[in-house]
Amino acid sequence: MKKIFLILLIIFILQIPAMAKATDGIDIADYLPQDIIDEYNISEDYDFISESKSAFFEEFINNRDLIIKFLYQSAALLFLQVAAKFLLDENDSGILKCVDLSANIVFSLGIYGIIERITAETVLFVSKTLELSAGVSALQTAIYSAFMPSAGAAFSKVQTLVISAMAFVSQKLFVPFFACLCAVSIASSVFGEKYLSDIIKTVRNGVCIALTLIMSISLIIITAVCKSATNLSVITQKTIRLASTSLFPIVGSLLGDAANSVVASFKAIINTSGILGALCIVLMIASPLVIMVLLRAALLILRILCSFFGADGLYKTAADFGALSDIAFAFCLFASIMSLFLITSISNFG
Amino acid sequence: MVQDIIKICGLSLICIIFSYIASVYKSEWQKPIVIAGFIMIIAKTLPLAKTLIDFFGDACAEYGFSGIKVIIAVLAIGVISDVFSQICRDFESESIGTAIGMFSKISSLIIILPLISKVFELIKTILNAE
Repeated sequence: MKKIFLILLIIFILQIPAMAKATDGIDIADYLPQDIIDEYNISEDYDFISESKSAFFEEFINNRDLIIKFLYQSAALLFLQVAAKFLLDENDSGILKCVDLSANIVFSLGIYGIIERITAETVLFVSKTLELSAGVSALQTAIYSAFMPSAGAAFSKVQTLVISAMAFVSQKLFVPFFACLCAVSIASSVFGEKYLSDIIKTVRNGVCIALTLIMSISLIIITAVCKSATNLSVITQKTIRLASTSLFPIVGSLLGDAANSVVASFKAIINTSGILGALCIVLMIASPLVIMVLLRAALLILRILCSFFGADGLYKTAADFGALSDIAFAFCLFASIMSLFLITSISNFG
Repeated sequence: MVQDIIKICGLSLICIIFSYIASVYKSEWQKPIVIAGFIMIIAKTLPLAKTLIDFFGDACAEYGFSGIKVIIAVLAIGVISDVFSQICRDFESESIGTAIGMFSKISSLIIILPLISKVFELIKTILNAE
């Protein structure tokens, strides 16, 4: 079911540019309520949506083309592997091993470009979300501190701690850690050792558990500080509950349960900052997630094809790099859930 | 394509018939007939292989798949050596067939060496850069 959902999702995503083109002539102001237009001072000349949309779709099309190129390359490699098995005598295993090895190496070199981009996008994504949280928290904590000095200061300390910790992890730990894992994945594809694949899978599970624990502890602390001063809204409480329970299943059902947290947080954002605020956040954070979702879908399609044609080496390499993209995706989800939660808790504070 | 395979099957059938007749009446002509048939079939097969190689060559040029050319070269070496070592076995020259196989394996390894060194360079770059 999850596979069917993912395939439908990728078909839908591939159609997005066409839909965007179809909506080019539409004025968004016609569809917004008058109070929102007045509140955000949207004039007829102000074309934020079109500009953001075009930048977002330009990047989206670049990412899509990159993934499609990668899929073509992988399909060509798969075809050559199958052709080698078909054409060569099974006794001639030396040549077959050479073909398998070179196919795995070419695949690794091809996917490394995408993984490198994902690493950069993940760091950029986390820094963007942290900037957003830090900006909103600095402004609103200052306002709340004026009315509730003691609670406001405590809340500010917790926020600063969470944001600094996330910034440290994303800037100092994530990139070298991810680079090491990438090197292990490439080595695994070349040497074909099972224990290297096991290392990557174990690290992926460990990272997801660690992120869940960190998130739960942070959310408990923030919730405790918030509750000491005020009552949280129902949506924010729901966000806390979902966020603290949903990241762990990232290992099993990534797009299912973990997405609930984002949806709940997103509802909270709409509730507090309006549709335009939510749209700004979506356009800001969606771009890095798109390439990861596209890569996951591409790897899933590739693994289905590999298992169908019996290309075990390529299947294993695709699975290793899939685990790497899972880690980046988990980290992005962690950052987005934490940031969304920080923003919603700030907005509901007081 | 279907016509081509019918032509090749017909050609091979003619070769087999001539080879059989030669083995009965003039046995020294049998091996040259088999070799002539083999050359004719290979001459028919080469344009097909060229179509496939051209297709991958165009794809490599369009999308910049430099590594795929190496795999095609290895595959071509494998197929050619496989065919010729089989012929050597047919002519009871097992040692020549084994030598061809050995040569093809070593040349395949030499062809993929740049790819392997590229991987080691990449791993080194990744680990040094961070």
